[in-house]
Amino acid sequence: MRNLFLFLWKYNFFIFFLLLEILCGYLIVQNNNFQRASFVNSTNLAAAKLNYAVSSVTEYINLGITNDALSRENAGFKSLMPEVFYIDSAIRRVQSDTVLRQQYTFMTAKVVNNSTNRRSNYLTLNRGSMQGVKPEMGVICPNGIVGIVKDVSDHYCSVISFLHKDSRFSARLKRTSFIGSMVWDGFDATHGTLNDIEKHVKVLKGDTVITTSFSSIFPEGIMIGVVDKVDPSRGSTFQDISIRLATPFGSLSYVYIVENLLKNEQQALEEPLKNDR
Amino acid sequence: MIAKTLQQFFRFLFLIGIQVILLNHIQWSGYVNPYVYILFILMLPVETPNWLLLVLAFVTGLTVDMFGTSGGIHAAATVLLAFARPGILRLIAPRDGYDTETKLTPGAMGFNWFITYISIMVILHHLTYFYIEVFRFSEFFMTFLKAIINSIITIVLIVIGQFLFGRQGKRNERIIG
Repeated sequence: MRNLFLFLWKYNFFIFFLLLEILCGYLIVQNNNFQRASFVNSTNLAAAKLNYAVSSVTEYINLGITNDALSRENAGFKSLMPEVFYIDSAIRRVQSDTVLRQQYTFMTAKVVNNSTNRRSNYLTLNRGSMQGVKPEMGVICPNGIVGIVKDVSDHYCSVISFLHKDSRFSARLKRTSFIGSMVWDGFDATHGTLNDIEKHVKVLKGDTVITTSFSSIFPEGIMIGVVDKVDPSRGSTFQDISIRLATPFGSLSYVYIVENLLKNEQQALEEPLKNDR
Repeated sequence: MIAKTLQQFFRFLFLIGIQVILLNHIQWSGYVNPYVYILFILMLPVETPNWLLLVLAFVTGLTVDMFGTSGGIHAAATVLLAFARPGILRLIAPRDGYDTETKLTPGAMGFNWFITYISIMVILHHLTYFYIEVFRFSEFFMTFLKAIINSIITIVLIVIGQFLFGRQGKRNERIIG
């Protein structure tokens, strides 16, 4: 026993170091685990308040870009107003609630903290469980997709950005409707990679890439980006497609949190099939 | 004693502030994210006990983690840095060792010594940090490049900072010399 204590005392520096590193490792694993909430995150009040103050300055700098995006979006909405349509048919269309059931709801949120310079980037938004935000909801902006909600506190939530080493979004080429998956290779905040598109599919520069509803997180048809470069000459059955992202990740100010009201139903139906693979 | 502790505390606040408010928000080219806050651990007095070094490093890392949603990656890298510090200080010790009152500044230790010390520590920290962050070997060379580029930027920032704020060390040198 005495020898044990002597040993511990002799190597106390190393043992203390090991203990701390094990604790750090535990925190990192905890944070990378999507299912469980993490302890160390920017949704705690002090960090969120400071980040909020910083963002109120950067928001001012980006005001021009934000205004631009909002006015463009407004123009889009204006063109959907009932009074801009000329009704061709003499028969009035009757819309009934039993036929049209709402599937998605949108909630606006302000970006409190954001990064694009790391391999795994996160955002913090000023909406939390008090406003009904739950983990794994989708986040989009007027231009395109942003990410998926991770942790939720009372008034804030953290979001896994698309610019993350583990992000993998199901995506569709709009023109040919072939389906692949979007990943980020960590090089450049303005470009992503579209994988799993076979060689026989003809992909043109400028083709639009949109979301699918496979993941039950995003609505179908949200913009992801446009094809920037196609490189078929690689020793595999798939092509290498570089996508210019539609979302300006560097200057995000306001985003929408998307809730799929039928998500539980879809997942419950698909759950037994997962074990079949 | 209290004055010295306060001085360290203010340095901690200042460096964390710079890191969290300014440097974490550089959104340029996706490559540039220097971590200057580790200067706090590098500049702690020579006579700081080992256990305190580890505790302070852990707290520093965890604070930066909290502001940046990085889990415990900074904490892991800074604790390793604190663990390596006594050994590296011994490795590059000047001929007659360190006095207990010596400050680890370019003024007191000489510019060459300071650059060597800072470079070893910063590269060690950045390599650790970026490899833990990526946690896969498929991007080995890109991560290495990223770590080295950012190490250079951090070192340059620290040296500029020493020229701007490091007056105290120089005054000591004048007294000694």
